[in-house]
Amino acid sequence: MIKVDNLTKQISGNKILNSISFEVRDGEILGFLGPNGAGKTTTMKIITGFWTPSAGNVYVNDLNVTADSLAIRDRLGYLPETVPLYDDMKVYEYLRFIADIRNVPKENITSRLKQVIADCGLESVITKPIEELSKGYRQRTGLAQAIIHEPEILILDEPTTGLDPNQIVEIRNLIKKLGERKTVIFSTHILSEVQATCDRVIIINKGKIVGEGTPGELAQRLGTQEMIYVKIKGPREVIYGALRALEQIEEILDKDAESEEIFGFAIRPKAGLDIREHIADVVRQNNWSILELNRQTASMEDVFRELTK
Amino acid sequence: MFSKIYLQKIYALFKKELFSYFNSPIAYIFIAVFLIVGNWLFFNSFFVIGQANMRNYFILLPWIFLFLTPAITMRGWAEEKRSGTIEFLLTLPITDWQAVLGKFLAALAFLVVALVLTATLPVTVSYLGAVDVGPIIGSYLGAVLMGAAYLALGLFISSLTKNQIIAFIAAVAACFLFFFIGNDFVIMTAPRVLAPLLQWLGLGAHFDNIARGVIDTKDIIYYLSFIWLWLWLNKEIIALRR
Repeated sequence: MIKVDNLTKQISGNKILNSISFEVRDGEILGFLGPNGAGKTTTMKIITGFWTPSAGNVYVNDLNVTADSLAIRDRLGYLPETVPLYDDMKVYEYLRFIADIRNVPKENITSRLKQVIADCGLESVITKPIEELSKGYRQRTGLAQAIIHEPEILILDEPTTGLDPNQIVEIRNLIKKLGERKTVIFSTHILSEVQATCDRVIIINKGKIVGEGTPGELAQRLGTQEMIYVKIKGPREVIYGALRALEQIEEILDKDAESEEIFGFAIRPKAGLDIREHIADVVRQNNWSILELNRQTASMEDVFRELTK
Repeated sequence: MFSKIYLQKIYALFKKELFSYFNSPIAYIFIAVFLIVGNWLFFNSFFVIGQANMRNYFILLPWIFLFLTPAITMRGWAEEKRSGTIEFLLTLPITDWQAVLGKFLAALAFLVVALVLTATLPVTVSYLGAVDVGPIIGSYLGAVLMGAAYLALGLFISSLTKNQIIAFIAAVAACFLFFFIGNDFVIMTAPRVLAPLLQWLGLGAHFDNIARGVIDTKDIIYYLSFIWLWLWLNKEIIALRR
């Protein structure tokens, strides 16, 4: 378990982290979400022991990041945001170096190397110098070094940045697979990523935690309700009046007008009511036609924007 | 403190660093230039003087080292900082000391390789006449110690910047300063109070003693403390990132 306790980091007078606290349970995939410069990377640098906290502390299974940094680093795998690798080494040599310095027992090194090379799909590039790798393979090499010593915890800083859509899906699946056995913290500012991968999300902004929970919980807590979008062919004023008359409706907003007689409305129903049928009834009674109708729930994007305003 | 695992980690880093040196063509170029320049300058006067010793070579060596050792250390930390790999290196389960020692020992090993390749010189000289082996062995020992001192200083300077070129030039200047202050010319013109201090601080005077074949513990302690000081400062600089 990772426990971040009132963590503060100040660099030349700037409070980059302002007393944040959160916990990550064993075996959980935690998404660390926030705009650029929110403090995600700083938090990760402190957990991994690259920086020390200005105040507060981080505990990893009762080990403390200021006093037992080395013991914690033994249990961590870390992929920094820029994926800094030793470019002059070949992939195989590099992974071998990591295995050596991370003290993977001699008799296991070969099997571990084979395992991570297979897990990360690096078979075709193991004899290539790292500087010749594509961005996707670089990222995978970075992941491979992070898992070679079978750490309990993986810290991944924006692991999908700069990858193409296919590579993003591959890396995401890899993270999910790794997350079955490990605790994973990964940061991102791509919202769909969080929904696709994480058990839980922490949203951070300007050094403070502004939201925490499953993607669904966050949407709920924000109080954003379901909206119905409907596009109707007919006279606008009359449609508006007829809809207004429905007592199940809380609010109607004009959304768009496709032509002189096709209008879109966003409708907020009173809490918990399903009004789709009522809308259909009104339209049928008046001999208009429905061209589109759909339900829209608050997306992570809305939550994110709302919380980091 | 020096458990087997502790040393194994230094060794892993040492191996990687040494490998990096020899993985780059620059290493071979530098060794080639070092050998060619050294041999040429030596043999230039060797036949004129007509004495079967290597005294002249070891008078030259500190000057050659002045440029060779900064070239070895300039990459050390500067490149790690520039490419960001330092973040990765220092979040491995190794202490800052281990990181510094791994790099230093690799640089030293590289220098020793370069020195070993100069062994053709004493072999040639001994073929041409009877040589006194003592001063030659002493000189090589002195060369390793002085080179190590330059390397420790150069590595420290490399930890101050992201730019290899700056690291190189600053290290040449710093090594020159420490070599120069022990020079006879400086000591003679310096105020009388300062002269013994400068002589003691200067890297060159201690080298001359060893090169004459006089192995004095004072000189060895001087070099070891000089090396330790810069490695320790290096470690402190690395720790400052936090």
